[in-house]
Amino acid sequence: MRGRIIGRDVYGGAIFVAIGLVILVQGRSFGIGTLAQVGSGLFPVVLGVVLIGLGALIALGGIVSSEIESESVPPMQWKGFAAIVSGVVAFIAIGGLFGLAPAAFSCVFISALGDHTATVKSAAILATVMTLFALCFFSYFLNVQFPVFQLPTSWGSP
Amino acid sequence: MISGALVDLWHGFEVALQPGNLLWCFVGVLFGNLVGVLPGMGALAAISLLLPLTFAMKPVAAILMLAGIYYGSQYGGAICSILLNLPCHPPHAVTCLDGYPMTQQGRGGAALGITMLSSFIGASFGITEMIFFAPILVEFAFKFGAADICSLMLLGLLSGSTLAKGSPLKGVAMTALGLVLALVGTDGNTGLHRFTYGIDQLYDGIEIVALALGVFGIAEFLKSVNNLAPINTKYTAVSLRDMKPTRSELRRAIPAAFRGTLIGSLCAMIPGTGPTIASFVAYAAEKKISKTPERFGTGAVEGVACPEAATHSSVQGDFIPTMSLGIPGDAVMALLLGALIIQGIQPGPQLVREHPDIFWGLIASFWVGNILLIFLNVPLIGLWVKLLTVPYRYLYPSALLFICIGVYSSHNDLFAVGETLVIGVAGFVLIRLGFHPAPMLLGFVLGSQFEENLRRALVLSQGDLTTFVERPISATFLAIASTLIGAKLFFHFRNRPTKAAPSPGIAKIVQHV
Repeated sequence: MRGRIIGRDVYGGAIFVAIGLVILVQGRSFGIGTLAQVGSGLFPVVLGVVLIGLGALIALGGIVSSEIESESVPPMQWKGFAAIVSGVVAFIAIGGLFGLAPAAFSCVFISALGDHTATVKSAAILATVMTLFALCFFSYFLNVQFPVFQLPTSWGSP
Repeated sequence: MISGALVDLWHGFEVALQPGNLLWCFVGVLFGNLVGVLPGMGALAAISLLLPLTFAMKPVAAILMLAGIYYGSQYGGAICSILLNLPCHPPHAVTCLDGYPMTQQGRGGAALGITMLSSFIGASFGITEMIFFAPILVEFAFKFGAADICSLMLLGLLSGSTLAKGSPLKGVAMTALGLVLALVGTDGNTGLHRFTYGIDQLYDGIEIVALALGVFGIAEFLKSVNNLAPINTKYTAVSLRDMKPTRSELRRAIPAAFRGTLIGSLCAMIPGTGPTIASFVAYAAEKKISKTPERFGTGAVEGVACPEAATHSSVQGDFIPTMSLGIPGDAVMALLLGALIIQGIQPGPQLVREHPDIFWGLIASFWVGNILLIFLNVPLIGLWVKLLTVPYRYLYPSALLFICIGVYSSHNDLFAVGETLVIGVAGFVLIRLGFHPAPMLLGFVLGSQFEENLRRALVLSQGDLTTFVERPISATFLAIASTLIGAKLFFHFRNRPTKAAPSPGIAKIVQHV
């Protein structure tokens, strides 16, 4: 347990060092300018350095500190994770091809299946209700510009 | 000065009581209250969800609604703490300590009644403070040059980032990450595209809606799905009649509420402390001055009244720097300012003069909204309590759909939905690594202005960095900022060896916060 949580800060710090490096390197290419005539690159470079410094401190703290963090990490829920991510992906893909109604149904249906108590039936009922609600509320009441049904014509431009 | 403020306030009431604005304030309060009581949701999720709706609204109506969501969800959070013993909303965590024992003794309704009364006292004081302080602050802020604004923003960013739960170092890192995300897009000064990687949709920068709904929506669902404990609804049958506190309860609660109000407004003035800290300080202080401290933790009304009043007066106090200086105190305030920026209104000291409707209308709507809340809460308490039992398995898929359509509607473009998903997954990874996303939003909202003022200050001083310490106002802000960092470091290291918290009850709550 202790080893895992210490590892957590090392990973976290490393992510920030990595982001900082990317910002630093790319920021330099924007042109730093001089202090009196600041270029587009100065602020990114400064932020890059700050991120690298903070990331290093966090990682170092993770290595040095023997303290066990009180905040417990809940177990990773892969099923829920996969369902929610695929729900949004389905919304984008099906929405671009077939329009709002099928997109809304698949988004709710797929993401609802991620809960461990959900059944295909309960997810389908929820998806139907929410789709009807979304059509009434967003398409008719708020007039959101999103075709309700369409046949695939071109990708990504409904 | 004072009479001027009262005339302006009168004008504010005229704005807030216009039927259209009143309706949106009501919608905000209702929705905030609703989402505040729903398990696994909070003020940030609620405001982010309704943010896309505000695009089509008038600025005044938009800001009244969003502010209404905020304090509406505060009440909702208190209901959660008292009836369910769930500290789902950090500022109300400490209310669990005495609120839940009261519920167990069958006085849960009275605890809710006391909460409403205390929050109204706290909020009213905070609003009054805002009416008189904000204009003074604004006058003062007009003297600020670019270097001063820059230092003030740095102070705001640092105090906001150390406020969040978890290690202050991580909070600062997340703020810096927010500043980095604000870089994405076209540089206003040179027209150069920064970090856009050739993607057209990123030329205008990252959408604030995508960022907010990614980290407070999708990332939260990824964290909470299948991980929420089942809710114990044993004590949630509260009727209207139960909500009336007894005479002796009132006698103990009202002075406590006034003490809490003072503590809360003091905390709002100290950078780096906010509603959560205010509520803990208030509870501890109330327990200390009580003649019967042993009653605390077993259902003492003072233990509910004092922290709730402190939270609400501090929340109102947070609006002062947000609206008068354009420096948000926390992520909620940052979202409100983000909504103004979307409407094409630049927050800052000029806001009060250029858009008095927004400023004074907002202040007046605080009162209107708080009164609406009482009217909503008293008859509808039974409905709120029923909402507590809505299973998460229905909530998150529905909210996910709203997020997708809401983000889409900001530009009628599915790219933004993908952007939200990427931000959400990245945010989830960071949350699992112990980084809390709220400070990131603060950095994001202030990012472009911060860079702009930094550049301007350097141009004005011809590249001389000493301008930041030579100008007295700027130097003062920097001094406060370094004191803040020093204090945080001091307390961080001093608390390390002695992990023992003041009392086991508080220690348990602190873990959640």
